[in-house]
Formats: sequence, structure tokens, C-alpha cells
Amino acid sequence: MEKDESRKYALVLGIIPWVAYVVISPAFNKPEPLILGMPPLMFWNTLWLILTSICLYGAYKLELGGGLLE
Amino acid sequence: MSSAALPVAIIIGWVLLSLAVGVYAGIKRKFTLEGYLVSGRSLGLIFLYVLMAGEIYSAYAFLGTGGWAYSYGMPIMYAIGYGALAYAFGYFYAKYVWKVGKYFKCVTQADYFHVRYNSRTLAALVALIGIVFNVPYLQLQLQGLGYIVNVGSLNTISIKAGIVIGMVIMMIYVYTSGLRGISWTNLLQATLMFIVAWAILFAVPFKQFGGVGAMFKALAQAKPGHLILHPPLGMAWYVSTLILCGLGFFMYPQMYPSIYSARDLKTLKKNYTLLPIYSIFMIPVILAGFTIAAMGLKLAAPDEAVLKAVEVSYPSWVLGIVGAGGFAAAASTASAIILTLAGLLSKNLYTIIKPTASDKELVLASRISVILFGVTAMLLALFAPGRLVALLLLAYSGITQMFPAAVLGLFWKRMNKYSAGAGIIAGLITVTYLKFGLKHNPLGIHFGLWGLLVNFIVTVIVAYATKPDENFEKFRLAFA
Repeated sequence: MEKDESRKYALVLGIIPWVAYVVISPAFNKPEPLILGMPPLMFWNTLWLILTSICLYGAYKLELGGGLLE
Repeated sequence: MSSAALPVAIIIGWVLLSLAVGVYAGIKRKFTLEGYLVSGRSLGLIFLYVLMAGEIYSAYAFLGTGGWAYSYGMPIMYAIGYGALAYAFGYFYAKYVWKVGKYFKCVTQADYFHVRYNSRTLAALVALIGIVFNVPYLQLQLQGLGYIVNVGSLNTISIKAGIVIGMVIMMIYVYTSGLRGISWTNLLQATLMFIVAWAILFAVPFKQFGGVGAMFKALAQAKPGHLILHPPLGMAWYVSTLILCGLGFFMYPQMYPSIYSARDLKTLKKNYTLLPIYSIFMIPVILAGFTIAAMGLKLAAPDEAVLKAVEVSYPSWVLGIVGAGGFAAAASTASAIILTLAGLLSKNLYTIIKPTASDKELVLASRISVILFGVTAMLLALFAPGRLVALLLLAYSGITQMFPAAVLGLFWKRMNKYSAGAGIIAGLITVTYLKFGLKHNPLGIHFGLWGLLVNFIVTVIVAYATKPDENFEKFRLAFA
């Protein structure tokens, strides 16, 4: 992949967690249903800790492949 | 044998182990300033990861987070969210900081501003802001440490004794071993914090209610408001706090030496992909706080929630492990802050009085500063608890005001020392006024974010009203 392209897609992956928390998580602000025992907002915010790691790992792989980490 | 013997032995044993590891890490080394403050830019993934995890999550990740869950409920979710946002931002931002650090041999946050804006005065301003807002934070860590060790030792070790022991131990290993000592001891501390959260706190809702779902059903009965965001900690507050804290996180001065200390870019970036996983340890802490609320227990102070949860769920010796965990959480954060402030004082303020100071002299100045900040924080924690609370309330908002200067300066040639300085000062005035003059958040939006808005506007206006920075091309060589 081109350097510029990997940089661009890596950045998109980095913005996804911001969208998940700042834009989407407010929609989960209700008392039920309990998901895995947790209120919706707590479930969403916890899930996205894991998904954030995955997004950033994707960005890392892209940048590595684009030779951006030398 | 009294029932307190085992918990006390656990705490003392852990503290002495930390001391031994911390001192061993550096006792036989001759440190250059770079070796002392940023471990010679040599840390691999594991030491970098535990350095940052230990440093970021403090005693208040236990006391404050659990306390918020207990007293307010769902608004605490901001703390889960902003860490992930900060790491997603830092994943990209830290690369620039690291490259600047390597190219220009920076060892402090103020160095970064110094090389970008070619201004000793601006660097001194940045150093002062870092010191002023972090000393009360340091004091708070010590108070938290004293309190947890006191409860953990079943009141055998007094709060004041805990503060003194904790601080003296930290001063010794930071003095001898610098950042290397902190990264070694943080391997112990970050592991223990993780164990306390997952092996001890996670079981609390199961022991009390038989499960997480059952606990929340009980909470919905006892405190229905706890399951949702509600004013004054409502939606506008939640979203604006997420943004403020997500952006402001990397303006804390202790972030810079840890970034510089990474061995290479791959290590640094891999570290940020893994940090969100570590922060899941706050979930058991929050669950413990919720459990106390669901049980309908009344506490004298919300910060007691997590310790109360352990007390009602376990035999008393387990409190000893939590007490050691309290030392772990406080020491891993406070030691990094002390070293950071010492670096700012010696490298960016002392050199104003003595520009010709040699590298060796600056190592000594840093070590003396470690003692200076350590003793200051200790005396404040012992004799003036709560005295600096006003600074603490402003800390995050105040520190965040460095954001436009730090980030716009990377890409925008028009940014110069005047726009950077004017923005920071305008932001600081705004947050101080909103917090202590107006005393509420306009439109429910966090006052720090209003400060950032004013800061940004002033920065841009001054940048267009003054000449572009001649130093910019030279600065950009770091990325060539």
C-alpha cells in the first residue's frame, strides 16, 4: 500500500473510537436492558475498550506495512 | 499474634520489595541527564507499558472511581471512555513527541515547547504550569496512600506514618535510579493493581448479590438514578468531559518523559494499542462501588467505597493486599510525577539562573529537586490536607490549555511563541473565572472545554496578527 494511503486509513481507525464514545455512547444512556448484567452505557463503554485496542492494532499494522514506523 | 500482623506484614513486605527493586535498578549506574530522566531512550515494550500503566492509574483510580460509582452512579463512565480516547489520540500524537525528543535531545515537556518556539520564557511558563498543578496532585496521592495503608493495616499503621514511609521509600529509589527505577518498580505495582482489581474486587458483586446482573437489579431498586447520566452530571457534561479529558491527557508533563523513554516508534505505538486493555481494570473497581450503593450502605466519605466493599466481603487479612495495592497505585504515579517535576525544575528553570550548567550538574540538580518536591508534598499531606484543593479542581482544565500550542505548533508555521503564550494564558484566565467566578458550567458543558475554545480563538487571532515562526523549518527537521 502507498504510504499516504496507509496513513489515511490508520487515521480513520484512530477516529472510530472517538465516534463510538463521543457520538454513539450517549444513545445508550438508559437503565435497561441489562447486557451481560450491565446497564447499556456501561456495556458499550467497556466493550469499546477492547475494540479501541483492536482499532489501534489495525492502525499499527497499516503503518507498519506502509513503512511509516522506521 | 494479633489479627493485624498478617496484613501489616504484607504491606511492609511489599514496600520493602519495591524499595529493593527500585534501588537495584540504578544503584551501580552513572547517569547522564538523559539516562536519569528518560532512561536513555531505551525502554522495551514491557517496561514502557508498565511504566505508563502504573503512572496513569493512581490511588484515585481506586478511591475516586469507586467513590463516584457509589455516590453518582453512571456518570463515572466518563472515566472509562476518556482513557480510550486519549490512547487513540496519543497513538498518533506521541510519534511526533518522540521524534522531536530524539532529534533535539528533549527530556521534559518544557523542552518540547522550547525547541518548537525557541523561547526560554515559554518553556519556563510551561514548566511552572506543570509544577503548580501537579504538586497538589502529588499531595493527594500521598493522602490516598496514607488512607489506604491505614485501613489495609487495620489501623495499625497511622495515616501520617503511611505518608512518611511511602514518600521516603519513593524518594530513595527515584533519587538513586531515576526513570529506570520507576519503570522497574512499576512492573511490580502495575501487576499488583491488576491483581487487586480482578482477583479481589471483581468477586465483590458475586459475593454480595450472586452476580453483576443481580447487583444492578438491586441497585435499580435502591438508587434508580444511578443507572443513567443525570444533571448536573448529565449528557452535556458527559460528552464535554470525554472530549476535554481525551484531548488534555497528553498535556500532562509526566507523559513526555515516558514517551521519550521508548526504544523506538514500533515499541511506542504497540504500547498504545495495548493500554486500553489494561484500563479495563477500572470495571471491577466501579462494580465494587456500585455494590456498596446497591447494599444501601451509608459511608462517611464516598472514597471509602472500595475499601468498604473489601471489608464486607473478605476476611480482614485480604485488606493487607489492598493496602499494598494502595501503595502500588500511589507510588507508581507519584514517583513518576516527582521525577518529572524535578526535571522541569532543573532542566528548564535552574538553567535560567545558570545557563552553563554541565550535564553532571543537572543530574545532581534533578536529584536534589526530587528530594525538594518529595518533602514539599509530604509536608503538605501531613499538615495541610485539603489546602490546595482549588488548584486540584483546576488541574485538568488548566493543563489542557497547553493543547493548541502543543498540537497546532506541529503543523502550522504561523504558530509562534506569542500566539502559544497568549492562548495558554487566555485559557487559564477563562477556566479560573468559570470555576471560581461564575461557579457553574455554562450550558452544562465542562468549563475546561470553554477555556479551550477561548484559548483556541485567541491563539489563532494572535497567530495571524504576528509574524510566522522563523524557527519552524528547523523544528520540522525532526520529522524529515
